[in-house]
Amino acid sequence: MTDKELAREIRKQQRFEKLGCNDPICGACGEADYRVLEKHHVAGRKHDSDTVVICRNCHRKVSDDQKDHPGFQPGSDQLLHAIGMFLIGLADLLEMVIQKLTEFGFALIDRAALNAGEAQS
Amino acid sequence: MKPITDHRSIALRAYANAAKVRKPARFREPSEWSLTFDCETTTDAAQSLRFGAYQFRKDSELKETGLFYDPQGIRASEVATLHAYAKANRLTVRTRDDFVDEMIFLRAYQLRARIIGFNLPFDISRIAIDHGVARRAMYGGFTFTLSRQKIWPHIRVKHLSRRCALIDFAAPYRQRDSRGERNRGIRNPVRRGHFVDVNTFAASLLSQNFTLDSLSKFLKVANPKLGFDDFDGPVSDEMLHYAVRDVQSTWECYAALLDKLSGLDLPELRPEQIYSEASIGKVYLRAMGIASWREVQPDFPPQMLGHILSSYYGGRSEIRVRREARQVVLCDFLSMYPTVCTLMGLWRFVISSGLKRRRATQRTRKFLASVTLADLQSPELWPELTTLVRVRPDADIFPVRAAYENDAMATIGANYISSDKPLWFTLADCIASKLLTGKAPKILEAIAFEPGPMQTGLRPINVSGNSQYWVDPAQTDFFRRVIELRKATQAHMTDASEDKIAELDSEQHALKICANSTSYGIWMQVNVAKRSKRFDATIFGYDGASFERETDKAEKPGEYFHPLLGSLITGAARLILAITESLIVAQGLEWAFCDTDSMAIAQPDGMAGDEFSQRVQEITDWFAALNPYDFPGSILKIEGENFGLETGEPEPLYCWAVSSKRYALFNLANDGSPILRKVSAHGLGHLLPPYHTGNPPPDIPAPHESVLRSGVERWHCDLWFEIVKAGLGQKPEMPRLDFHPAMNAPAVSRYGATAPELLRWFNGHNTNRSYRDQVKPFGFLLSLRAKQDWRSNDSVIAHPRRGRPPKIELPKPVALFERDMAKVAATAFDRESGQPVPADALQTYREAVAQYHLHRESKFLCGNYLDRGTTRRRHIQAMGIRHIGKEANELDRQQMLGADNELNPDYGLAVDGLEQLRSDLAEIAEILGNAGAAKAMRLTPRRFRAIITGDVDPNDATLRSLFRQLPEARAKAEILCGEWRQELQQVSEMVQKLGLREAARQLGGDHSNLRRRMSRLSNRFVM
Repeated sequence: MTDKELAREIRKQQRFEKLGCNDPICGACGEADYRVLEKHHVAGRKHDSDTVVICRNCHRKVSDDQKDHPGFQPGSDQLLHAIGMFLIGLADLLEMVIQKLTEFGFALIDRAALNAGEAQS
Repeated sequence: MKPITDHRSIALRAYANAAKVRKPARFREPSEWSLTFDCETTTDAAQSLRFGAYQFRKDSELKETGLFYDPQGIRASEVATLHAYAKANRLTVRTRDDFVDEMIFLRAYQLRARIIGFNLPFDISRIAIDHGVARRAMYGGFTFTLSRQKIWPHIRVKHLSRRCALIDFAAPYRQRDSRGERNRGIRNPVRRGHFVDVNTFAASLLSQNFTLDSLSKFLKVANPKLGFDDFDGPVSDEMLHYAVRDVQSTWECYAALLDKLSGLDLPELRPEQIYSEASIGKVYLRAMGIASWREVQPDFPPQMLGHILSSYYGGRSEIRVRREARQVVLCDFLSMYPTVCTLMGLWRFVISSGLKRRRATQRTRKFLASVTLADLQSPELWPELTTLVRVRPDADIFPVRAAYENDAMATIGANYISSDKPLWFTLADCIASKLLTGKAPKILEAIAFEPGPMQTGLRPINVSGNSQYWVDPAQTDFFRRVIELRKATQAHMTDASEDKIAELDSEQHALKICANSTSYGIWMQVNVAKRSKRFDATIFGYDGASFERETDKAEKPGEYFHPLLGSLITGAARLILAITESLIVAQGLEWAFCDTDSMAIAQPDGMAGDEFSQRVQEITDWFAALNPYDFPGSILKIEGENFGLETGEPEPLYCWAVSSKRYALFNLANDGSPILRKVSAHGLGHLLPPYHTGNPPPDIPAPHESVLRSGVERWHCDLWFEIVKAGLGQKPEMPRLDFHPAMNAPAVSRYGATAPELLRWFNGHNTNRSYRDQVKPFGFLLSLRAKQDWRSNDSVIAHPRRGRPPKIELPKPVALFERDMAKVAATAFDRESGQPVPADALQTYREAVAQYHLHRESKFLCGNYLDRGTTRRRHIQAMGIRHIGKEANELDRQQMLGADNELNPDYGLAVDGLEQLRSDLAEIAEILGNAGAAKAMRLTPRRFRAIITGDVDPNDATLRSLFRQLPEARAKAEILCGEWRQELQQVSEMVQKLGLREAARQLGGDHSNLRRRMSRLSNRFVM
């Protein structure tokens, strides 16, 4: 193992350690390259510590969506607010998953039509 | 009514609610990388590193293999040999520093690799350059400095038992979190590493202790450990080959064990998380989705836990026929603990979402009054036994935990007990008492426990991944199912092909682990952690009352801690033994000894062999009705020792029992000499063998290989052979103990310096030595004993002619590690003073075992050194109640270095016990006088008076001493009272006959003095 390979492997293992598993994958789009994977606070960092692994692109999108979520009103019930924020954050993620699934479904149908056309020709 | 034979304090388990400590960080998965290494050391006391070998792998692919050496440990010529060998075999060579920095830290630590070794604490301590005392969670362990670079963390090792140790990386000496993370409040956990000691892994998975040699043979790995002896010689190719093979063998054993682990189909279970069989049991329960009782019922009142724990006692281990050769049939209960779990339906409690309890006093009284031996044959009755009762013992037979005959440690004996204070027992214990005494104990209160609603989220599992071994925890009694599956697998083995047998054997083994690991130990698991600072623990005693107690030992219940189950299981097992005892008596037979789940039934004098066998058969048949499994037969089995070695046919088996767990079973040869079948190594295991199997005594026949199991060595068999031979002859008190010349050598025990306080014994030796030459943690040390009657010349000369003779302290000899036993005596020194101990002061093997064959069975009467025949139960009057924590904490250490009460959590006397003690002492003082009573209690009169008046609260050590002396002082006072009574009676008779004046004249005194004397005698307190 050369020094370069070792340094790369160390970076990779440190990333895995941060992400908390040895085979991380983006929960929204399925990206599996550890170099672009990050941890995202589902409810927002200020509200809850629970995280999911998603890729940097998806992270950017859901974090941007989070900016539109309602802010905390002084005097509100903190726990209820946190649960609410978590559910909204989760819904954002599921929305991305649904979008991906829809795209994937259409892609499969297109592929099926293409395969049928090739078979006929 | 049995007369009271002893006034003793008894000990009861208490529930200690220690202050919470920080939760350990969540387990993090290791990567696919691994580093396996092994060290070769010098053979002197320091056992310093010479060189080592390692393998660095990604999964099973070997990425780098090499050798490392300590430049100070080998000569230049040896380094050349090492390089030449490495070149020829394509190995990388590194210095120790290089190995530590590049392999352990830069690769293993940074890549989150598993670090694998056999007996890893020893290897880690060999490559360390310094050590200290670990702090916080690892207090009581060591911290090792490995690298000279401060950026790398230390490694901490805390010894738990001979089988396992906690090992992890300490926090590194640098900032773990980046500035950005700190600003955002993110804290990265400390990287603790992943250490796998193959020794621990194998012991947990295979339920036996191994050396690397025996393990590699047991697992039949491709490259087993090689034999090599010349460790003193220069580094040679052969030595290097041996070291390289050791690492390969360790890796192959690890891989084979990993295969077995994956066969259990418990993906959550990782090798670095396995410390014992209990670790496996817990994962089985988790796999079935079973939440722990403490999790589902966190608000269970701790007062009730105090009641429950006080009713907990271990298994019954006793002898009845002492030091007499008796023909016996050894019987053993089939999987005792899983069986009683099934009979009582305890699985319902395991899967329930909590305990329900209700008062059942009237019902239980009625039940106990009517229950008979015949009723107990009905399996329907056993689920009713999930009841605890509070009784006022009045000459009832219950398990009694006490320091009998002033023994150093408390032991448990089924004795008669009377107590003014009500005590908690299981209902099973009450029934056992009724069976043995004929009268039902007086129940003051009874609490019946029932399982709450079933937990949700239970999942079926395939035990060992086999779909045939499917168990649904919601529908099936798990304990019963596992035993049935194991029996079925064993049955298939009888007509299977050779390949299939190995597979089936592995499966039945997995089932055995599953049954053992879930049926008892995990319910009573309590981990004791010694803390650096004393703290106040809240103790809940037998009466439910709580009090604060300062201690440095924190008792932390295990994850599945459920003391009710532990208490009920052992109580039911004792009931099973009590039933057996009753049946034996009913059949007109006797019993020689019992041990938890076995009993040796003895043939009475004059009974014919056939009749004896017939009656034993009737006893074993009685238990067929209690068989809860789907296969037929009795749960009481006649053991293999009752059948001939050659013929396999029933053959008369004889027993010679000395005390609990110390017995030998043997057949008789035609010439009347014993043929050993089973011997106990209890009380001998701490001594190193004085000679090896290759050099046995010429005139003692070699034992059958079946005898040499469970830690039994050849010399144990030879000792028992001589004890039994003497027992069968004219002089049973005088067995030949010099049957081998090595028996006259100093008796040596080997132990590891596993804790800082043990290593401290070598402070004197280590002073002014370089770290390399010092005795280091986990190094092997030798412990010896001084002769009891040995006196140094100095002490004889210094003896003053007048006054109290000085107290002579015997030296406590220890010695540096030495393979050659003949050289050990030359290096022995007193571990406290550091002064050399002469060879003639050291106890020899012969002296060390001189009283082995006479060892007291002090929990019973007629169990003293020279007593023979039937032992009798004591009748204990409970005088005080001590609250104790986990018994036999750090058992390995206590077995090796002697019993040490300091290691066991002890919460002292019950609050009202101190008042009772004061009143008892005052009574004695009234009779013996203050000075006499103080002398009897071994205190100064002033201190004695201060304790009685309450000016001083005695500390733990004084209390222990007072309770030790109290029975003797009381006996003395009773004798004096008797004398007074006699004197008063004689004088009264004389006065009546002769008149006061004449009687006084004849007694040579004055009549008024005589009147006063009589008045004093009659007014004296009579005990």
